[in-house]
Amino acid sequence: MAIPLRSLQSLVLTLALLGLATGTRAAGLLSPSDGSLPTLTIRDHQVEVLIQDGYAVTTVEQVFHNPHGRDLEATYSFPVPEHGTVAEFTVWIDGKPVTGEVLPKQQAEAVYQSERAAGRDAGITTKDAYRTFDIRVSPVRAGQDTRTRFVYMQAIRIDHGIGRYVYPLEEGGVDEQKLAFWTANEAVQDRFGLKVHLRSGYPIEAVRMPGATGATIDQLDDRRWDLSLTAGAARAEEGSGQPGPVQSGPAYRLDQDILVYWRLAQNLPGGMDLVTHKPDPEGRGTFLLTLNPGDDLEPIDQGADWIFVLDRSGSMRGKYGTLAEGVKQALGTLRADDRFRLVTFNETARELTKGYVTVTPEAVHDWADRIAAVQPNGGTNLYAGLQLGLDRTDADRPSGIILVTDGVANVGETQQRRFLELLAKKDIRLFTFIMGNSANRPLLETLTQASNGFARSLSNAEEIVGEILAASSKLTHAALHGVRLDIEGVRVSDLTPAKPGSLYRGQQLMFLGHYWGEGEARVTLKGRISGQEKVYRGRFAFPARSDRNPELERLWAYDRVREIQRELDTFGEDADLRDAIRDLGTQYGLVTDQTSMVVVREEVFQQLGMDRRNAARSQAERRAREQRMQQQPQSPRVDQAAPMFNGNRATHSGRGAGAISPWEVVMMLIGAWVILILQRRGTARSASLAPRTDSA
Amino acid sequence: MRRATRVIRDLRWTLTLAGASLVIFLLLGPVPAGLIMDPAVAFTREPWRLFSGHLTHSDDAHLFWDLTGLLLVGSLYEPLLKRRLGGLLVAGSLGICAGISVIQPTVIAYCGLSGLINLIVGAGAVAAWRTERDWPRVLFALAVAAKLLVEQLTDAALFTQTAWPPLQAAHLIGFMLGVLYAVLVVPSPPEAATESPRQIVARP
Repeated sequence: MAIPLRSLQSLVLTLALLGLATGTRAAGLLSPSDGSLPTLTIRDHQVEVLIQDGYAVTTVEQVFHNPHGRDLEATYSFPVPEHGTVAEFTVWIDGKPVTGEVLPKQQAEAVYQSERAAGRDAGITTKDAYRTFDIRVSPVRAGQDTRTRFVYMQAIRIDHGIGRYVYPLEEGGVDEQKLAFWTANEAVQDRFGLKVHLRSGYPIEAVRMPGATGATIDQLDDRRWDLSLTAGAARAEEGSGQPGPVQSGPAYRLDQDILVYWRLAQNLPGGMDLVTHKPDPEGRGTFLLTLNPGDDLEPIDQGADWIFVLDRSGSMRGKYGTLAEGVKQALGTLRADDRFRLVTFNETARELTKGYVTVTPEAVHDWADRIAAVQPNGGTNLYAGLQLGLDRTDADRPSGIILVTDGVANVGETQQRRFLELLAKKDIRLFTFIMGNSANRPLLETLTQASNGFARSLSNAEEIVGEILAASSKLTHAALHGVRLDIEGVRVSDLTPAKPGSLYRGQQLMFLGHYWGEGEARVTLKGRISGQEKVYRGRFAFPARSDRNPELERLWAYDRVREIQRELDTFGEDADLRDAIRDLGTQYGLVTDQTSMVVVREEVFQQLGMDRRNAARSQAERRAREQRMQQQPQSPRVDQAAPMFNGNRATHSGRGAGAISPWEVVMMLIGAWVILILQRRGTARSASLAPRTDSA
Repeated sequence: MRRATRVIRDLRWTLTLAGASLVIFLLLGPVPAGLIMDPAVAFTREPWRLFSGHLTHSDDAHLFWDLTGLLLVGSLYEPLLKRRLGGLLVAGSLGICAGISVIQPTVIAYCGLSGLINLIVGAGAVAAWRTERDWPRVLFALAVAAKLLVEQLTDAALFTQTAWPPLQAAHLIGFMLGVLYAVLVVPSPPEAATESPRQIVARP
């Protein structure tokens, strides 16, 4: 399928610009908008992140302060990190940290409310679907502080050799009811600090924290980088070099995502990386297998049809002007053999173009003006937008839909299954750009996967360059569709994802699963490129024992939860699936749509007969992280003996040579020869003139 | 011997650049990681890359043709630019890196002399015109400018095959910076008349 590369680049640029226009909904302490309850403050907010072995663990420690004369409940809300879930919640009670345990959602709520009503210290972390994690702590005593900590973990993927981590803080602004009821106090009164420890098994060339004024980046060696950002009084204290009372300073606001990018060394070979956790040689192990394909997907170049499906619902208000300008630029860079249609949607869908438009300068100018004239308002009927976009596709030409949305499907058809049925009617790729932190990411990802497209999440603070490079490179190359992975030689089960979908250029494939025993495993990766079967084979050895990465167990469990949740969203209510999520959540200590994490006093845990399984697991994970931090990272590659892929990994073609060609040199030589001849003639002429002057 | 000394003196900057590029390549090989121009760090922690990046090359063919081009262009224009060439190279090195970062933000690494070569051509053209209306050298530069124009219009570097993809924007940025620098620095004709290389040649 041929792809309008520049169109996409401009579109991504648009998305980034939209981010700039976004409001300042943020993570923070919530209080009712009607002022019925006084506002608490965040006194201290310290974030520590360890990125290593294909996943990130984020630890956030906060101090809430109650400046009022009566005890109050604190409610802290923050966006759900991409593919991440809360795995630890700790509240300091009587000066000691007490880590929570996971219970089914209703049961956890009942325990929390019971303790709260009794005036005893308690806390709870719940998940509000794909939107937010909400933390409640009660009581924050009058005039006093309460310290809390939560930890979440998420898989981190490398794309085109570029890693990306987002500390999500911006609220997406799509849940109007919640926004109307609550006001977020996102100011950190005293100290804000963020530390990122980046550890890589492969050399890292460069690290960036765009937009983070005052951030420091330290390269310890080529595989270990430390980044830090401090604000408010913390910086003043550091400058003084003396511990002491907190000094006043400007409040840091938790209203912008913090991004970290890192770039691996060029020319890394394709291969297989393996990270395992198997504390008992006789027991079950968990593994994370990452496939980094060589750059062997061929470029494609032919005309295509492009359907832009653009969200013009009310949540796009304030952003739409920038969107229109970006689409104008995108249309302006389409090729002459491309065609386009423009569809917008809010509560209804409307095609602006009334059919395909051939790309001419006049057409682009005309339609760009018409897009700009649209006024965003109303709800989000995503189904209607896609339905209209899929209408009138030409089976003889490759087609793609570029969907841009920052919201949720809340009008018209909203069932995931109907969306999938709609997409199944046409052989068309859906490429989705998901804006902000509150979009219905599960739905949009499911749709794009079903159509063999890809979804890109964009933070509102996103830099455009990496997104442009990553997306355009994928769209200008063939993709491996219908990917299947088989592992033989060692007993392996519970592989996630069960259906990996498609592999685009520059992407990694990450699989989590369980294994028993040890020894050599034979791996086969199959897929189709333009209808032709492609097979990759490799070998590696599973270790008998390893205990460096206990987090793998939870990462596998959460991957499984997401797959089950996807089934639930597609096929509707199913008690077995719901129970499966609940069981995984409670067994592995994960906050999910079916489970919450509750903290009560230690004696209450005992009274309730609650096993302190999550506390022990969290402590073991913390110890493992401390050890990993101290050790030199090792290469996770395991297929050196029998490489699975040929060639190096795909990277951005962002390298440039200032080069003079042989032909240029030849032409320069001719030019220089001509100049030399002319110069000699001139000199001879001057010399012949000189004696005459002298004689005169 | 005297002639060789004069050549070395007249082409001191050209030979220094060529020698440094050759030494770096012989000692460190192609694409030395610590010296290539990397915008992510060159403008903050590792500013030497703004200069060293021009002296590094992606392969031996890249080095050979760049050096040949530099020696040709340097021998044509350094006698006109003389001591001004030092300032031109310093300002041009910085300007080319900054220009690449602004115009092509997707570039994550750059190496090679061609930006500086086009810088010398651009400045040399102005100097050739201002000092003595040296039409052959001006026409030579105009031919180079025409090639740059075609590169920009076709969005491709002409004729070039290197391990790294050619970055034609560096050529244009270098040429334009050279022109700008010379316009600001090379004296206008009446003042320059006393410094014409041809007059110096004719003096004895």
